[in-house]
Amino acid sequence: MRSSAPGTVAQLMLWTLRDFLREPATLFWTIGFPVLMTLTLGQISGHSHGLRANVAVLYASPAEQAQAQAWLKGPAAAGAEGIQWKAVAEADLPRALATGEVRLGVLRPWDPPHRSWRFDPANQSALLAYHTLRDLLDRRPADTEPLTVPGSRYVDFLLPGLLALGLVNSCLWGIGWNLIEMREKRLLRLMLATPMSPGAFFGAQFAGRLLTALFEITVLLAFSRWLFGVRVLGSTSALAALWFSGMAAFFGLAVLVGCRTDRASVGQGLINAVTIPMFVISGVFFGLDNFPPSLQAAFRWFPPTLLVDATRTVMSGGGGWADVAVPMGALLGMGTACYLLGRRFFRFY
Amino acid sequence: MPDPAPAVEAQGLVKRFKALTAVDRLDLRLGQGEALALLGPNGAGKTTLVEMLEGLQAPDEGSIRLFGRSWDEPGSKTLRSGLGICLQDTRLPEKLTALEVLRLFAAFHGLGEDRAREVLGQVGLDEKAGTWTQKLSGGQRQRLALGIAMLPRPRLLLLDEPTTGLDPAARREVWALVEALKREGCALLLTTHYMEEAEALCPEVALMHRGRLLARGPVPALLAEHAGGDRLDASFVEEPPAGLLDALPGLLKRDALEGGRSISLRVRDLGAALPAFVQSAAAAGARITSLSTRRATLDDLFMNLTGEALAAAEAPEAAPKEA
Repeated sequence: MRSSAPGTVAQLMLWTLRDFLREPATLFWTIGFPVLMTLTLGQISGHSHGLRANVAVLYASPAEQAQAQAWLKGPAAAGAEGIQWKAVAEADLPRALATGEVRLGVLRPWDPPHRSWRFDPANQSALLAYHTLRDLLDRRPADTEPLTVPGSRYVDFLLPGLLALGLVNSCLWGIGWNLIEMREKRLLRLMLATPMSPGAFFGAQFAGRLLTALFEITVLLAFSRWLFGVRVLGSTSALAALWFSGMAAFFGLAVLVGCRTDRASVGQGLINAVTIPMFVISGVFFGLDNFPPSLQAAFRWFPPTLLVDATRTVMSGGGGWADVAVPMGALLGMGTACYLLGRRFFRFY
Repeated sequence: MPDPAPAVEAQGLVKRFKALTAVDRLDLRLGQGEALALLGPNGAGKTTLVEMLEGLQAPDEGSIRLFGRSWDEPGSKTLRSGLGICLQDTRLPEKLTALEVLRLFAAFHGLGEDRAREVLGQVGLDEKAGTWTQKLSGGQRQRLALGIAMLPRPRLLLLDEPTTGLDPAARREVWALVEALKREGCALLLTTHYMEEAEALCPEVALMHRGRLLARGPVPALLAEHAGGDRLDASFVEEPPAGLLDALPGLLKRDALEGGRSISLRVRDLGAALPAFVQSAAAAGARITSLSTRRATLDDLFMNLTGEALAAAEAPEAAPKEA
């Protein structure tokens, strides 16, 4: 009989955990890197209030250059908090915009009737800076009232995505790559020739990776709470169930991706082919509203997007079981389908 | 009392991969406690045969019985508990210690810590119990791999080129372990490229080529029967007299070279032929300028049977990987 005894599963899980804890690179990429990403990207707006931008004060002649230098030392320029001004020749503006040195330029800011703005209107951050600075320089009365709600910061937007990507990476590299490597090393073949049950093997892969994922998530959540005060506003149990479903989806995908090849280079290509598009269209770093509506509808059903959106709903929007039921079902369904397909074509050697 | 069922009994085995017949109507019998070395070039079908014996591949035709049981029978998977398998160049989990690896594989057989530690001692790695496998030497790793095969106290050991790439000392350590298992009554099927390994571990060898067994038997008998004899080459100052070789014992073949001043002989037994040849040349006054001899090898045997060199013969790639 094939052995699926608890001892088999326990030893296979221990193997997964030991591999995880004894490989410094794994620890860095699963724990250190997401923490550093959160720390770095959280700074974008995690602690700041208002606009931050580099803005060029343009001049077209030596006389205007002198006027610009004088204006930069004056109170109007100093009053624009978060703005880094610099004098730039008008002819040099295209290059300064292209290299990101400045976000927009303004000609004669001291002379409202003749003031002129230069920027790419397709650049949303330049558009935002233009409106903000125009109001500031014209001394328009404030017609807005700041409304800061939990979950509205960039770090609140970012963290659910990082957690989801952590699961994607953990499964596809931790399981998919591992399967390919074990096949290449002929370990799978050696194990298949013992009474070990393949079901126990896959079960242990899932359970072992679930434990490491729990560890990763706990560390990242604790870090974000400590540094940025990020909290789970909705149902914690619904969130846990959602992540379990996400884990199941990416586990199934990992088994499918790693089901046949025994060549490391092919494996790397396959995993990158799956993960990189996921990073782009998952809405982790920017919202899906940046895509055309027709694509948005399709992208919303991608496993990482489902997980990211539902996680945001619970973490930042205070959602509960009712909000995650559909994404959970979809993730579990996709995971099961991928797993069954992967097992159907799985090659042990 | 009836004879015990043989460790391996395969009849009419055929395995095809599309147009390639990897194993072709092959019969093989290995009694309990017997040892057989399977020799053949890459692509001869050895691995496919072994995988069918392990139950990892099903034959297209023919039958396999291990200890009287077939892989097709219900509950036949218990046969795995009686198999010890050691693969060539298996890279063990790098970040596990020697003891952890044995614990892992012991668990697959439903065995515990005690058996893992016992085997660790048997393969002489007690002091390396806490060492990651990636820090073991090649010989130590292969002993550990053999330890994995020893865990279930196998009745049949299937070793696939277990010492390839090892230095002579490490190779002998592995041989010693295999010998110990054989003494306990374990049957052995060994695939190898090393003739001396085959001879050291197995009283019988079988030559495999393009999916078929060409010959099987003790090495001396096979060489005597199929290798075309030992070789004796000699050169003389002048062409030797015609009757020089008339009384040479066991002369199988004679070729004259260089206008008759050199001869190349094939003899049944060099030990008997060489003194007689030297004595005969001296009596005839034939002055020898050079003399060289070489015992027949399994390579000669293979060449004689197939017209191809053992090391160079390459059949089309054998078993495509199927699970």
